[in-house]
Amino acid sequence: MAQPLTKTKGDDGTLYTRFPEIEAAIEAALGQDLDRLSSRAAIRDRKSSDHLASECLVHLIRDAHRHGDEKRRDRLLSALLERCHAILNKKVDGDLPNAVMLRKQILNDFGALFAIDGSAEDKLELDYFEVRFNHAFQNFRITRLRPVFALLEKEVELPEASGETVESELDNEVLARLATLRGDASSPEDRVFRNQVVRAINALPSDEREALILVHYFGFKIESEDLDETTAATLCRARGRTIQNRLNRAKAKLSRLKEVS
Amino acid sequence: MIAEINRATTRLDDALYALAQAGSIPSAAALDKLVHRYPDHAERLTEMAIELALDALDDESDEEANAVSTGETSPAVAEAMSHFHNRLYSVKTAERAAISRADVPLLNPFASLDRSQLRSLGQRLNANTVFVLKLRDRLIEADTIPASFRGRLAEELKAPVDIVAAHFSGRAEVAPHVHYKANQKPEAGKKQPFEEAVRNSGLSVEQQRYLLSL
Repeated sequence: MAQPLTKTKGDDGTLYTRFPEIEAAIEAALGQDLDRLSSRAAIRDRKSSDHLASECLVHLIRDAHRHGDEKRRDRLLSALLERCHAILNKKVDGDLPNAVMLRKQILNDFGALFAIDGSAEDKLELDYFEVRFNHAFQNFRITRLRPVFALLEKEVELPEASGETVESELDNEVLARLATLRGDASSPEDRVFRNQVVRAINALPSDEREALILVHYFGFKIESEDLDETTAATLCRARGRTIQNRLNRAKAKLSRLKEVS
Repeated sequence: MIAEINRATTRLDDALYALAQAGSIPSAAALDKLVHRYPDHAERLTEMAIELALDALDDESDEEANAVSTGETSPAVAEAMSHFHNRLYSVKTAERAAISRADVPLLNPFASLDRSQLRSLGQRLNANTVFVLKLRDRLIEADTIPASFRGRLAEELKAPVDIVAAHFSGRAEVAPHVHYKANQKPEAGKKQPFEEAVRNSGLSVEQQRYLLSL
């Protein structure tokens, strides 16, 4: 049985818990040999039945560390870091000054969490990674990038056209169905278009990107007369007019997608 | 001041834990609920939710997911592993220094075991009592003991692996409750490598093969 997590919630003092599917995956993986686990850790397709969830991988590394099994710990940690490296390559904008160094720094910092695990310096940060890895790693990354963004507040140019032919128009109708674009676009053309939209959204200044996602993905109103209602304006701590301006600017930039393609 | 910082940190942790409970990507309703529950962290929660939404939209992550790692270690990961080992070394060094400063005698995790428990431990390790006594009396060179064996021993002794490792790094000794006939307490023997200890403890060929394969 997987060792229970030990971090407690400040709210009520109860222990963090993993999701049942992660508990089951850990239970199954604990009995597997290192070669089998290593080949499973190399699979990145989450839909594969052999894929080893990163939450599970974190637990296995900590378990090996606790039991002094250095070979197991190091091989699995290396596999997990490869996954993280792939995420960072994608998520840390290559246009940022020192992007390569920032990625390395984040990766090194993440690896160091395992070095202090169980020591006097340990603040049980890794427990969060066993609950929901993608949230925890995203938070880890944001925490380290935030000061950089605060310094830069940079305006990012739209990405270069990749040469794909896209016939869809990026208009209000497309933005209205932003939420339905996720995951399973069936045709290659849809996928190409969606990737272009996402790349363009990622390239927007953060205030415009936030307004766009809150309104067109989550469906929040721009503003409301009801002061208790959560809206894009309340979430961004801005006036409704400001949100509308950000949306207008974002749409103006995104509309260039059609022109460049 | 420090207490306040700690409380704020804890509350951000709580907010993020609650977000994790709300699903892989929170719904608008869940985000709405969370920002009301944790108003101090509304900005971070919103930022996280937006990033998660963008992840969900991003088809390229699926393309990347379909790839299987080549098995080769990338230079960035090799560097991170090296950083990990350096950090681990400094943590262990600090811990050893703290123990040394406290001048606490090394804890012998075998101390509470009587003769029958030592025999039983030997059986569980696929060894014998002679070999277990060598472990107890620190007669085996610490650096030669395989990590997997140390881990297994720690599990059997229900002791932290660090304590077991620290035990082996201490000087060889004769257990205090051992009876002897001479007028003076006998001196502890010289330390021997793990392999030599395995070969010279009267273990069967099968037991030797097993222990040396660890």
